[in-house]
Amino acid sequence: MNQVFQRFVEGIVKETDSNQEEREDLYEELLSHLECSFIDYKKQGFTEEEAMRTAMTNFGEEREIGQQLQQAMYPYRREMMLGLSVASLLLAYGVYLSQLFVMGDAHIPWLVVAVLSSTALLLITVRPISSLNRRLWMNSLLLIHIMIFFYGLLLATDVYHPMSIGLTIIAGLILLLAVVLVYRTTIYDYSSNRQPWAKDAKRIHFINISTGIVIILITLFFLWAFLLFSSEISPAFFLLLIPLGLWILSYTSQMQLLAKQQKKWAYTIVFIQTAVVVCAIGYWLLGTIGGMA
Amino acid sequence: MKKSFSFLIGSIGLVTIAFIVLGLVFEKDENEKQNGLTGIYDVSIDGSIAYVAFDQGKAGIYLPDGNEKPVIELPVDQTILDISFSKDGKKLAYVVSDKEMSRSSKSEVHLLQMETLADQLVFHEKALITELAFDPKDSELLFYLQAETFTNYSPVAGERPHDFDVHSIHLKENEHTKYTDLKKYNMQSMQVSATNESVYIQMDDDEHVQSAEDVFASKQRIFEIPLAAPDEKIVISDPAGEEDLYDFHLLPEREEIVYQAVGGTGPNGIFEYELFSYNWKTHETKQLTNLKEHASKPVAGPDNRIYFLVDRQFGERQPLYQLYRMSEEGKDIEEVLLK
Repeated sequence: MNQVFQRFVEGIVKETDSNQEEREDLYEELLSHLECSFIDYKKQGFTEEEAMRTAMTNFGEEREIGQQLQQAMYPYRREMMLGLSVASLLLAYGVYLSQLFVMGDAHIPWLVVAVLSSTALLLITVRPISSLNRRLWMNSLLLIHIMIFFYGLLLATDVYHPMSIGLTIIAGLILLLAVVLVYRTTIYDYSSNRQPWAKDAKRIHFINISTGIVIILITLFFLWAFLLFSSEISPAFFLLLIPLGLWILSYTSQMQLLAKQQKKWAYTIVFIQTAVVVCAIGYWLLGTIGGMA
Repeated sequence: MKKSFSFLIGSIGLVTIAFIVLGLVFEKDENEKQNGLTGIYDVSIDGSIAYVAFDQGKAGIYLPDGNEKPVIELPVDQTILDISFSKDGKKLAYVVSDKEMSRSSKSEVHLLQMETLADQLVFHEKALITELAFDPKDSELLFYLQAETFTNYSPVAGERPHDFDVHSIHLKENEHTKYTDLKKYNMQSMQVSATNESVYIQMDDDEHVQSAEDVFASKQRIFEIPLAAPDEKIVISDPAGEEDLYDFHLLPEREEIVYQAVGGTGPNGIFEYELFSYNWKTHETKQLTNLKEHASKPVAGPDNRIYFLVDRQFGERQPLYQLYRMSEEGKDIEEVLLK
């Protein structure tokens, strides 16, 4: 009986995007529910065979139950991931063919990495791998995907009008969806057990991801300008990466402090970090407006 | 489920491999991408127009004689930098160089006999020859602008031909003459006087500059350079004008210069180039075109019409030139269909 129930429950759990720890909890819970049901049916006079079959039949079909649980635990996550991977694949092919037949350029390395990244997302969506469904792995894959498709966005803008308009809009939407998935992966879907204050952790994650996006965009802009006007790589090139390094350091220390229940210090660093970024943007904007005037 | 998933992954792999193969087959070299009319053309005394266009990256000289094939076609790694009809319209000189110019680029000056279409190499030079102009007084005398260096004088600028001077070759006697020793940063739009022993050239009015600020403040003007005394060059465009002048064409009988200058700025921040006329006797300036695009390369035709190019894609990656003509007063603008 136990083996049959175990196989049945494994089939349900396999359908969810849970990580190993969550799967073990879910597995235990479902198994205990099935066993209680089995005992009830036996008390009602069913044979062991009948009680087992009835318990599983009343529980429902494995795949269906698994998908319902997935939807309840991570609403629309799978649809979002599926949409991201399929749209990314189609865009990768579309941009590659447009570049090839309109501009005469074959971006083969980009096509390969874009297809690999999109297929990896498709793979973990259709066939969830529990050991990979950790926040770090998911976010790493999403960040790599964002970088690959940011380059794809640049390739899309590079194609002649009006073809570039449609491709650029789709590339922009794909990037937006990937960024939204980074937010929900970090804040909602896979919360850490190390954090005693879940609400504060979510808040700090949200602020840091937003700040990180701003810092990465500014760094990319300066790197682009640097590469445009500099004929060779100089040590100054690495100075541009300092804000990004400081952000990683600040983010890590905030989460460490929060885990050690040093909430006040964690928020102090959040405040300083945000103030520095806002002041830097304000200073730059004032300089730009002043320059234009 | 497992089968259909494997089929999906396999299909993605196959499609990707097919696209990679397509890429390897259809990818074009940078030199094969250019198509269409370039900014190089000339109008002969009988009204024939010769122009340079690219076809799949191959530069060619075309004559609108109903034949769609070029009379001269070069390999994809070479280009035609300029063409010039002789005064009688029987000869067309053209200069060939590398598409990707470098310090080691050479130039070849050819002569095409318009009646027989016989092509003859006149001379080659281990330097860049950027412009040609026949002497209207002598169809055997061909002037050319030669750059001695190909470099970038500023770290934020790309490499370009610099240190320009005026030269000529007597085609019959095969005798070269260097007239100037100016080593100018840039020279363009050369025209030879039909009456005097002088040439007209657009270049920087930077004779008396001393500081970097002076260099930036200097204007591009049109000069008359007497061949016998090049140091006695004079500005024939408005000497006090605050605008930069670029391409030009002289109309001596009207005592006017038709020139290209910035007419305004478009809504996207891109300059709009128009054609203007300047009368050097009355000092009157008149705007001839108001197309709000990029008008350039004015050339006087035998029909008292000014031919000029309009780049419909100015500011974009590839230009899209169309040839137009108008009266000398800037009226009756019409497109000249070349193909």
